[in-house]
Amino acid sequence: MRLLTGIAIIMIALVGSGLVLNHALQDSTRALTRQIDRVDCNVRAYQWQEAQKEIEELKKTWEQQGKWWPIFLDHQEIDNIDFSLARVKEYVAGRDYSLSLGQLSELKLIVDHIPKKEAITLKNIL
Amino acid sequence: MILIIIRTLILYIATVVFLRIMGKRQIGQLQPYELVVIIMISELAAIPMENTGIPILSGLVPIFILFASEVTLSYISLKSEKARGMISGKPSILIEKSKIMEDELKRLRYNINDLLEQLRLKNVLDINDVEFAILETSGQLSVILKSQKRPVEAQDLNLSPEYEGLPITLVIDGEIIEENLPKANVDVDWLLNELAKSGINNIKDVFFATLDSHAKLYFQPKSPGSKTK
Repeated sequence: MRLLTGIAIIMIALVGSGLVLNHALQDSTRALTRQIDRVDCNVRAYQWQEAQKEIEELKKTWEQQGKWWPIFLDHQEIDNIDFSLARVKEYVAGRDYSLSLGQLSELKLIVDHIPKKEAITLKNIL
Repeated sequence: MILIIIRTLILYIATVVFLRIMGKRQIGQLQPYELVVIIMISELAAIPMENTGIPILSGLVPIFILFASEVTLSYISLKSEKARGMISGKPSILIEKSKIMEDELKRLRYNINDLLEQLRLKNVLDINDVEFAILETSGQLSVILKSQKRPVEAQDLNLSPEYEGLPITLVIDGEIIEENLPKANVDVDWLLNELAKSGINNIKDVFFATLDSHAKLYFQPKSPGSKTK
């Protein structure tokens, strides 16, 4: 009986942390997506200096928010964000309009995709 | 490389702990749902061991869930006989009074060659000698021989052998098992005295020693290469 009680407590803790994790992941993703949108706006307006500053801010946000991601998520997904971010930085530094927008779009998709993959939906279960 | 070593150790320890809590049964005596859990746990542990890109929690959490499911099913089986029947199934009589139950064999998809093989493994060569053969839920075949064919027991010869209890282990690999001394109603001095009578003056030179229910001490000294100098 003690064993069952212990298991029940751990299960509740696991389910609770799973829900908290999903929520935290969505918050992180929203923060990152907002900054990606700001970079995107600056690039569209050809404000390259502003765009570069925003990218530095985005990098800092990613380093802060993404610290705990590797504990719970596939490392390949996190590596993809790092690679994409590196490419965006170079394209913006090189003032390449099309490539910058394209890469920003890809980065946003990768970041948005992660909480969707972890969401509790029938599609993900099956 | 070091990462793989650390992750392997963590997963190994976690798996051993969970299997230890799950209880002691030999592989051949596991119920189907227990066997499934063992196989799945080993697969789940292996994946994060070899792939450092997968978080270790992706292995530990499913292992815990399987362990929790197994413990829960075991408790349900313990409390409810009906549930036990559903979860583990029921034993089936394959031979009754030397007659093979053909319908039962068909239902279980258990062919006659398998049955004969299992009987031979139990040292039964003639079906005529078998009173009952029962296929247990673990897949093992239990054979009950006819009374004329079973091995002779002391009772059959009107003998009353002396009581034989369990031998108590007193020494393992040079170390005295202190908690067993009061169970055997002896103390360290007595043990050392008895060993000294056989020329052993140092407990570290004893590999194994037990005391049976007739207060007879059996011991084996360590091989010459491993004795203390």
